[in-house]
Amino acid sequence: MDALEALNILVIEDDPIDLSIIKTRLKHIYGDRARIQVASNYLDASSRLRDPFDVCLMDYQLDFMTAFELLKRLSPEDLPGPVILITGEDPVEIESEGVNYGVFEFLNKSEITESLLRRAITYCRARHQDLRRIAAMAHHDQLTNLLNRHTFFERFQRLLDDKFVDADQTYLLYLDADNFKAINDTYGHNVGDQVLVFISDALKQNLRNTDIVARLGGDEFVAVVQGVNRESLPRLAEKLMNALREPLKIGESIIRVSVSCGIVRFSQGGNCQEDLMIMADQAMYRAKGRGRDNYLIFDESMNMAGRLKAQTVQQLRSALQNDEFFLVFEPQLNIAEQKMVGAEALIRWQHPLNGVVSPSEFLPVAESSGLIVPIGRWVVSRALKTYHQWLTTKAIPENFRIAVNVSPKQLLTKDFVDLVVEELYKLDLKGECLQVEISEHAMLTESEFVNEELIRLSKLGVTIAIDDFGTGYSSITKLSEMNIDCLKLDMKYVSRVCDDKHSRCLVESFVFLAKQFNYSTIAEGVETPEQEQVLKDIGCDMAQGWLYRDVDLLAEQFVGKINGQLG
Amino acid sequence: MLSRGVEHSDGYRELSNSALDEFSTADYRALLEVYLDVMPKTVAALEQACEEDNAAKAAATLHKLKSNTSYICDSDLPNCCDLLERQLLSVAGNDATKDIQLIISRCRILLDEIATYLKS
Repeated sequence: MDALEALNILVIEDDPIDLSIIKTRLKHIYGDRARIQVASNYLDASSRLRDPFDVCLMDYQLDFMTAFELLKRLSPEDLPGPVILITGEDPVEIESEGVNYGVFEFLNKSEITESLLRRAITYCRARHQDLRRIAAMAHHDQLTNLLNRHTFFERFQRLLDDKFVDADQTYLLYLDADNFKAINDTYGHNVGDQVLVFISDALKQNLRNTDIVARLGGDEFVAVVQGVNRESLPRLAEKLMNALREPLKIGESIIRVSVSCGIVRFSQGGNCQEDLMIMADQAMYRAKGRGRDNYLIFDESMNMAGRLKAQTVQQLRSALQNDEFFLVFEPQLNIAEQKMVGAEALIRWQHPLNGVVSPSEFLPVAESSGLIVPIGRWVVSRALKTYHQWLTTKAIPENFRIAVNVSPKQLLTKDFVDLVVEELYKLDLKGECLQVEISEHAMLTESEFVNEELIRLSKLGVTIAIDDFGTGYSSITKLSEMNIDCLKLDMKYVSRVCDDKHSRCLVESFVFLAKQFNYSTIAEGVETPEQEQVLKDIGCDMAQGWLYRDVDLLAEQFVGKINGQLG
Repeated sequence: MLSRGVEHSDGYRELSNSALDEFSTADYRALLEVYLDVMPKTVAALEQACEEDNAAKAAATLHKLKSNTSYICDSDLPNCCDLLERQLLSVAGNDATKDIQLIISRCRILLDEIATYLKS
């Protein structure tokens, strides 16, 4: 901090005497360097708190409201500088509440001296700058510097909870880059990253500082814009689309970027975060369906599908609360030794009215609404509990492993690995007992961050498998860079391995590739002894599929199956 | 530094405080001008609250007076404002008219002292 730099000080004070004293003291301390801005009523203060300042001195009582009522309308991260609360009350009584709203220091009016004020300002500014640096890392996407997924949902919810927000003039925009995978595949991931940065820059430049803009992950972006009426919304959307259509020059290449955008008004979604996300997502997919590179505002014609999805979201939430999910277990067999070496835990939903619902029906809704995160947590926790039970009753052989499917969204929450650590610790299990399966597509789109989390899992001894391998156009280079242990060959190839030359050739190549990288292989969807024999000849390590079970096996049925095998 | 208080013949005075010693005389005088401008309105508001028997308004005004007077009074005036504010907020139906009138009188004395000081 430069001792001679100008200092922008915001003073929020409605009492002329208190204000005069503060201003005089600041003038004594900083002389002409102090640029003092004054707000003496609630509205003025509310607006000035969003403008840049180095420090804010704020009276606790303003008009007929308290400072907290004003501050809680803002996120502490939105405050440009630290707030020092000046109060005639005993600060101890309000300290604990104030820290939640970005208040760094509390000074009692009657005890303030110039030296105390100077020290408080210096200390608060230094601490604020430190916290800013830390917060920037925690709340922002490292590549684009936009808000990250977690922080977006937090701020989004805060807006929904704010009764002063006009739901008729606030919109959620959901943007997805068109053909991003093709850009990645054609030009490589470095260029892909530059395209993502280009999109984020265009969003930042064409939206206001007060709008919430975030990268949800991959090529998905979201923004919440306020104070926009229905007439001016198309203008805003067009402006954004045009900015994104600008050709992007990277090296010698000119890349045309486009996005599809779905828009929903807050009031259309009944101020419910999940419903709004689904509606915006639907509008975005409709926009893609209409040839991409355009936007679509959610309307009633999409409502039926939206309501159905929203209803499913609601039911999924109740399902979690009412323990309606259960796990079934698919045996994984070592082909050469003909021994069960593991089980893949698969989720099912016992719907109170519709019976057992297949995951293909509810997981996409869970994924798009974000409910996949708590559901995924439940799966990990229940699978490990079941494993622990099998272990304590000696129902499974040594080195047996349980596999769970993990959505990239779970990994992006950052606390997934913590959950695994906690569950393993609680049950006194080793990481080696768990295999995490992640889809090939997820590995590719979220490779950088996902890989970091996978490394953390590997350190625990957890093994990582790429699910549905062969469907996601993995690049070999990428494969070698990722922290994985096992490739699960997609059933599309496995099912035709006996009678289709190309499928067999591909499976052989996958197994060869895996061996080169020292990965194990599991063939999915094995249905016949002939398929198993061919896989054995090729050198595939493990197999799973209907050949090894006739029905979905519950935990106790699975134990019976192993006992039968062991017997 | 010149004495910033105005001593009455009996030795009693409201205006006197060491908390603002760090203020130059010019700044101090400028501040007292603000008091002369603002405080009569606050005192009038307290008077009105008393007439309307509006305890909440009286308490809020006393809160302001407590803060304002604390900078320039070494006497127990700020403390009296504080006690009366708390009393009004906690005890319903209590007739505090006399106490409020006393505070008003003391504030007026303070204002007189400020005016005298500024003329000196």
